[in-house]
Amino acid sequence: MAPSLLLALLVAAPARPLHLVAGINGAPLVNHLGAQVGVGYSIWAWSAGEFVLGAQLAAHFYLPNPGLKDQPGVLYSTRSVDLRPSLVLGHEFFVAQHLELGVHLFFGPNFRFIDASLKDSQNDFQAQYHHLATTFELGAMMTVGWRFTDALCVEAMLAVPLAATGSSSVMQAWLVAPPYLGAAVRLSF
Amino acid sequence: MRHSQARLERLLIVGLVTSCAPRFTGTTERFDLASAAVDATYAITVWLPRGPASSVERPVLFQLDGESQAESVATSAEALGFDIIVVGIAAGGPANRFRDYTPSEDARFGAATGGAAAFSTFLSSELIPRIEADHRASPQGRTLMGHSLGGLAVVTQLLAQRGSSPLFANFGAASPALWWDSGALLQVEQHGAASGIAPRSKLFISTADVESTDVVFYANELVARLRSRASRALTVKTSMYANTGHSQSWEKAYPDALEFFYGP
Repeated sequence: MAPSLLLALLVAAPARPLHLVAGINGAPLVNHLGAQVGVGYSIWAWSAGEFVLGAQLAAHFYLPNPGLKDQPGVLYSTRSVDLRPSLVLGHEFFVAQHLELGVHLFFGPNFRFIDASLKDSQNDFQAQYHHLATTFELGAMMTVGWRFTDALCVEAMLAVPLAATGSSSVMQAWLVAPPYLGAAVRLSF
Repeated sequence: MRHSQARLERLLIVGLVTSCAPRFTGTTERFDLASAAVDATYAITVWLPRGPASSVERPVLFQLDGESQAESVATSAEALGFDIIVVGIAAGGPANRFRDYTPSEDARFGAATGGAAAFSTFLSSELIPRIEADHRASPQGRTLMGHSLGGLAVVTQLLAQRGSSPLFANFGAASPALWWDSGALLQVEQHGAASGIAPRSKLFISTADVESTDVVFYANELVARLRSRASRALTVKTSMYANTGHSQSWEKAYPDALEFFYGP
């Protein structure tokens, strides 16, 4: 299956095989590190017919949860960002004249940088925490695009991790690799 | 036909996955216990080890947030070969967790808070006597375990108990919410240090690397302070779990805590 797909990607010569997708993404999720307010998302994909092989980079910032941390005598600061490069393998097809659907699998590392500090004047201590959490995630991504021309498409996407190293369930995986929604513009060359 | 075949395959896969997960094979008993100390009624589930009633008294583990966590603990204890009774104390909802598991009042949370002392009275005067009257339960080797606010309640209990016959011998606190009330328990620890911690206690305290870092800060600080007292009476074990968020950190912590408390 995989060699034949690769062969198809290499041999087939679609009119516009190279895609650059750029947009924003994030999730209305609030986990214990804070709300995910992702910023960047891009795919460079090579397509052959309906199949796509690409590379993707998603990045998210996390805002601290308000309220919980606002305590008398405590100065608390936390910043967290993740970088999620991944390989994408997908199948994209038209369901109407301009409406294009895509289903993809993605796999790659998830690097979460956490930088936090705390100064507690009542208890007379301060501490810092710098940490890089690394996990590998396997997920599914769905795209819905409206193709205006051969070269221009606007699309929405939903990426949902299905498994992550160190997690024994989908829900656990989402705690370290949250799902995210995005909107993007795709240019095809 | 093809559709129903696919559905059958899916059911088989779900069945296989489900059957692979370990299940508790002992017996369970459920009852409601009205508490005069708290003015509330608790749903209690007792997880009894498989086999005939033991001729010896078994140690008892009291699990906070029992409705979601006790079965996992009982299953882990059975899988690890520990002959203990697990008692799950259902919290009964978020508001009750704030009421029972917090050592001091904090109006910012919009619910009744600061009821840990009353909850402790419920444990010592109402629940434990009931369990020990109904089962061959040993007063030795009692354990209290909890997660997050439940972990806060566990540490509260640890710091509150004094004297030569402590209520609990083992304390398991997974990702405890020690940030509560600007780290109020650190002051409790400091004030109580002179009078000493109950003898022969074991404390297992864990954090996760992808959870709110104030949990990590306060847990580390508490452990550093406890260890600095150089008390031979308290043995502390810590663990930080990688690639783990807050909500599920107890699933990794509790089996390690059981090994620490009951293992060789």
